[in-house]
Amino acid sequence: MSQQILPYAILESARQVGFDVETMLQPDTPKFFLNFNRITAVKEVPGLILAGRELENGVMADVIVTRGTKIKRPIHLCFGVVPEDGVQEVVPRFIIEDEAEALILAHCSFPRARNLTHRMEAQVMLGRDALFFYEERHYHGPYSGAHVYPTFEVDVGPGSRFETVFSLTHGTVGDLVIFLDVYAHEGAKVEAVAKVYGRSEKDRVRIRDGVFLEGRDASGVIRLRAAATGGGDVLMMGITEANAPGARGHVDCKEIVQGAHSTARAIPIVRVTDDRARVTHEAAVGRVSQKELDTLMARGLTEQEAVDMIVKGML
Amino acid sequence: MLRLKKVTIVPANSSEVIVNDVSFTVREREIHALVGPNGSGKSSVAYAIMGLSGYHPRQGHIYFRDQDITDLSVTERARLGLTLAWQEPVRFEGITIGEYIKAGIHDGDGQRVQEALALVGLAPDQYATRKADASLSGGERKRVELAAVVAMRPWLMILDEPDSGLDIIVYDELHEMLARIRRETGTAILLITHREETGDMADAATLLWKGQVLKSGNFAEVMQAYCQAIGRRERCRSKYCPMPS
Amino acid sequence: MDIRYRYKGMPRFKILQPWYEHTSWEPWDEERVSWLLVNRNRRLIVQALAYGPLTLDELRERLRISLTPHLADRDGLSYNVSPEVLVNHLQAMEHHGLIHRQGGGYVLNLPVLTLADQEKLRLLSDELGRGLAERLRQAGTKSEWLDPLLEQVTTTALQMLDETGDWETYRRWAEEYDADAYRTWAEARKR
Repeated sequence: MSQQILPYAILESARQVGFDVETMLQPDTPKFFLNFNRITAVKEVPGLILAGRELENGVMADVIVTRGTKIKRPIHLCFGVVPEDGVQEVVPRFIIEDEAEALILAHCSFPRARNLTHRMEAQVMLGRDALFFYEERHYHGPYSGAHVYPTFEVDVGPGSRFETVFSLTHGTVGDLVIFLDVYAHEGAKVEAVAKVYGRSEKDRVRIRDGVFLEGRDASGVIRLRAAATGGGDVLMMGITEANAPGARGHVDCKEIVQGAHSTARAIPIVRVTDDRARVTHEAAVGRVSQKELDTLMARGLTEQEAVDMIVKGML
Repeated sequence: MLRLKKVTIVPANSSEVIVNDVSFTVREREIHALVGPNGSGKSSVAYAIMGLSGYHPRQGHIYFRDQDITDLSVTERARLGLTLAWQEPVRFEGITIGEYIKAGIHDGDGQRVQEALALVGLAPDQYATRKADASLSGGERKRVELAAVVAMRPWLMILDEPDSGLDIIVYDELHEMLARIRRETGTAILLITHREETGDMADAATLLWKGQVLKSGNFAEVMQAYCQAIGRRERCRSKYCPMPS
Repeated sequence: MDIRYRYKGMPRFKILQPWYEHTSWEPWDEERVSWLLVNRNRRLIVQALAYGPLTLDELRERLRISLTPHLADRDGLSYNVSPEVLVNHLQAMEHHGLIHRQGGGYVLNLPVLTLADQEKLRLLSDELGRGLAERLRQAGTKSEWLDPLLEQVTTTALQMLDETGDWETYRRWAEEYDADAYRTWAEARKR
């Protein structure tokens, strides 16, 4: 049954990144699964509208949580491609209407990617006093052959809360470019977190998260965490711009760079056009502290195991 | 268990001899105190025994359980059953206390995490899932560090000034904790300290003075030598002080 | 009349991400587009003003953010940019020369090309390009000189035209949006 819904390789990667696959596959779990360009599972619950149209290379989809609906169970999304190469395009719109609440757990899996491109162009809008948590966990296989380019444009309505976490910490990265713009309106709260681990010289990461505080008392936090080891290259840019009175923002970039030819760059950008707003930033880039390494090696871990443990703790 | 033979240490990026021609032995199940004033080379000896970079002996050898470990890496020494608890333990972002302690357990016995926490007086159900970060107090960090080395069940643990920075109440508990560790695990302990009360529980001691061994023997003999070395003319508070009152 | 604002390389102003060229390896540590235009709401203001001057109230009406589903039969959501934020945006844009006030409204300082203008440009650039290519072939010019040569030619031509009063140098950065050149032009225009 599960093999028909999603290939084993994708389910296995979901398990590896920490998703509860058994729950994902349960018939009454709200879900939308895509295997390359075939929609293989759709399950709505009251107040949740899932619509999809298969495209030549992917899917166009709507995820709508209707006004006042509070969906307690996580909604599972999965977009995967098993073949080694190809192009997948996903164009979703997420609309969380007034006073609605939802949590989405999304898994993007390219377990055998050698020359595979995945593009996502997502638009998100929250109405008033809504809550939306969106967590996306990726797995790109062992060959650094995935080219993954998600872009998100998000509007968070008055009084709403939007939290998003992107993580790619298992396996290789390949070429990853993320572009996230969040516009927070009056009284809205935003938190955007990205965690990426580039392990080889073929891994390149570019993340650009922007939070624009466009309403009175809006607030936003960007947390960027990355590790570049074995020649990986990571650049993270976090932009917070406050354009309204009482707006508060913070950008926090932390990167670990370890090993020859690894590079890590953090660019926190803060801007304020209203003198009643305030934005702060912090950034730290550097290798793992020798004392941390020595402590774990004195417990019997090898240097690589120690680096992995410290990086995973940070991520 | 552990034998240093004519070890001389010149730290990396320095030409100064920090430790000169030091030899002493730690026996099995023994608590051996390494005492001396600040700057006498105690921590350098500890780091050299553990194999930390920058402290490789320029001369001499270090033997552990009859094996010459002078050129082995930190990891290799740890896998032989040797470990170190830092004077100032590291704070790890994002790692729980349970995960930190479990890192030293290589035979899969996860139960030892709970046992180790209980041994050092930390409630396992409260502390195992807490983060090993800046939210811990100084005393808690010291206990977590002790739990981590105890859980490894090493043949020998080096405790670098476990009594530093603690107030008197916590200090008394530390004393009791070390006694309990010795009783229940039988691990040999190389205890680096400059507090007499901690050294009191030692079976043997070595006094380092300006990078050299001044005296080895039982703790009383070593403390007497210490008092004489610093040139006391009057009796100090040490119960071992040989000076006239 | 269909107006499209044209800037470097891209015909549709809405897609203003010239640094987000994920098919190349260009680094991101230079802001090649003015920070003013990184914010989508300010880009919407520029788009709105591209059709002509607007008052504050008219802008407030126009700046409506909405999202409707691709497929589902549902109305979607929308709301306006708040008035005090709009004022902050306009003040920043005015201060940095992107717009100016005229009468009771706001006017865009950037030139806007119609489709007809673009077609004329295309014909002219074809003709000039053919001539230049032939001249370069005859001169046996090195390929690595091409970019600096083109820049020099454009600068010289515009200077010559500017002296005669027949051309406006702001056209230069209309073809290749350059924050520094724009600022210089905007300052000169204010005087």
